Amino acid sequence: MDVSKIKLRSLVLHSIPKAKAAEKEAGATGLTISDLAAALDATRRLFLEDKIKTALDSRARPVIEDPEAKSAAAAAIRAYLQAKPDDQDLVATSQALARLLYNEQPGISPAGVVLVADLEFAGSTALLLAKLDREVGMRAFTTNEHGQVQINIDYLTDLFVTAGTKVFKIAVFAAADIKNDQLVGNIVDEQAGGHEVARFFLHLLGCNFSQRPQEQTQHFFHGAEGFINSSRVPDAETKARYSVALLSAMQSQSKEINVRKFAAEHLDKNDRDAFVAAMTERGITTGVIKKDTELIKTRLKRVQIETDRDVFIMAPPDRLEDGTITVKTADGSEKSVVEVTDTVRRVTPHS
Amino acid sequence: MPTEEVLAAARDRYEAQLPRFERAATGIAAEVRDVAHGCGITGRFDGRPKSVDSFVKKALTKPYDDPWGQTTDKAGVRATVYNPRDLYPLVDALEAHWADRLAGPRQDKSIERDPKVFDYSGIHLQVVAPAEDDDDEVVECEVQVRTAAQDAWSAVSHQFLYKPAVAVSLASERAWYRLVALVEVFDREVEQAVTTVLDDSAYPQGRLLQDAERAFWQLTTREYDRGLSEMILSVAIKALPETERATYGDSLSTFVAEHRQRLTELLAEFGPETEVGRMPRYALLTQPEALVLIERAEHAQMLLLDAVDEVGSDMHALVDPVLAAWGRPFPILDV
Repeated sequence: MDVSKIKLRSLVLHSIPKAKAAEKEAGATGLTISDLAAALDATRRLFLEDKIKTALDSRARPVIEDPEAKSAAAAAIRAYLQAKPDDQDLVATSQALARLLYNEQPGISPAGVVLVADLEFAGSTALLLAKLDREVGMRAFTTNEHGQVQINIDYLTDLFVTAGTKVFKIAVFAAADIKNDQLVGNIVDEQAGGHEVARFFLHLLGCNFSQRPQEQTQHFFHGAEGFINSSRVPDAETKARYSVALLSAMQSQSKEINVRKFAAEHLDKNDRDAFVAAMTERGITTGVIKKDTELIKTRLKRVQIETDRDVFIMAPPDRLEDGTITVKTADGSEKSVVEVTDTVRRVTPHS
Repeated sequence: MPTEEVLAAARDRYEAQLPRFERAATGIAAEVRDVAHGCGITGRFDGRPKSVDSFVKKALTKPYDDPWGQTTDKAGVRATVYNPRDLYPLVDALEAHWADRLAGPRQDKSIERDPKVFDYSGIHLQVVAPAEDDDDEVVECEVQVRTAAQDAWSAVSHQFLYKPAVAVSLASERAWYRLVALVEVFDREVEQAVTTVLDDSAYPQGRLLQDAERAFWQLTTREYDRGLSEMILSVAIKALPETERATYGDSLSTFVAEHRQRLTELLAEFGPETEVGRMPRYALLTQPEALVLIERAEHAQMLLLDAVDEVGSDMHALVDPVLAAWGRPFPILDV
């Protein structure tokens, strides 16, 4: 998503305690519900926008409302976005969302702040819901008693966004994106790829991810392959190196693919931006993809080298990594040298 | 010598087709500019059609039997390079670019002439313009590639020697051609001086600051902290490939023109007189290098990230807020 088009207009905060099941069952919420919007000057707005844009740019995943889920939170958000501007009540909507989030979040969820904001997003009104966990920090302060200067420290336990805050739960929906009375938007959830218990945020919103991880992974794989075999990567040695890196990334234990991290770690400096641009051109997210190689698993078992004069070499990717097969650019020529160092077992006709 | 009827018909045809030759000249000039900038070559690149009276005068002066067919510079482009050392690289690059569109071999006046004679020494290429639907024949364009001194001599001598209002005496003619010696000396001296400047290790960064300052002052009249600029640009320059550096001023100006309103709002909203502008976290928002950082974030974010990563968290603390305020933050790679 293009986060450059986000502008924070107003926001309401509610304090949310650690969710204890027994207390919730007893009806004691411990919530501190705000009756007014938070004061928002330029400094605060810019700092919060920084954090929201950074998290959305890196981790946002498109979602669509599931009408069957009958989510009260989704209904509240939709009602807000579909109301006339004069009828939009941000405080009341935020209070409802805070209560719903508190009731939905599992017992292990830490205390924090629920932030509900009205945004301008690409010319449309949008509503943002975020849950920020409490953070701790220290502050130095100076006292001067009896002419003696002392610098002391405060241990702060009521922080909720610091310079180091990177990823937190965010959902953002724009009025212009509502289709057939369904919300369409983006969410960031650092835990969405993990255990089901951590997916309460998605459940709260009654949404599903728009694209299945299998398809996203396949799309990325084909996009990356297309880039590697394009004229942007001219020499065979680099193509081979990138291909092995792609296969390794696909087969690694990691549960996700961070597209720009892949570029930063495996591609030469001057190819990274072109790679990211190529992904964008193909409509592939440049953020994070939940990895599922189901649709490409057969492609990951073999790497194929194909030459202009119809020579094909098929091999397990490991053979390129362990040096059994090497691909180099021939000295003083545009040709490549592919070297296989092994014992020939058999040579057979192939149709 | 053409008959009066032939010449009149050619003139009328030329007058009628003048807009076509204007489009051809403008289009080829844009191609030359793109090729030059692609090679990191700076200069002036102008295209225009020959005026109708010049067309007639040339037909009468040469004289041509077929003034229409023999006048091959009806559309003309002048490429004037600032550094004489760029002359031949530009011609080579243009020939490669037009490999299947050149209408003949290059004409290198400096090679073709008698070494004992002083005369004009630009390089000419004849190229076919991209066809248009209504074309009834191939449209060609003459591209003259020159140094700034050659261009100056050519422009002035064209007026007083080639198209004089009064007859030129032999002594006067000799004086004009004698000047060519100075043109050659001037070009050699410029070449040497430019090489000295370019070889100075501080030049690329100094040039980048100039480019940033020029773009900055298109948007504001504010002063800035030069020391801070130098520190930030010593990092930002690593995100600017060497091949793009010579023409980066133009690229940055174009970027600023395209985003003028948003950039103006950004600088106004977070200027030094504002609460945000006084915060160290947003110190760069009031600096010219912010424009370079923003432009690089839009076009080479991964290169910029690598350059900032190389310095570490202190540099991130300064750069990240600028990019986030613009809306193109660095990606989070470590979560």
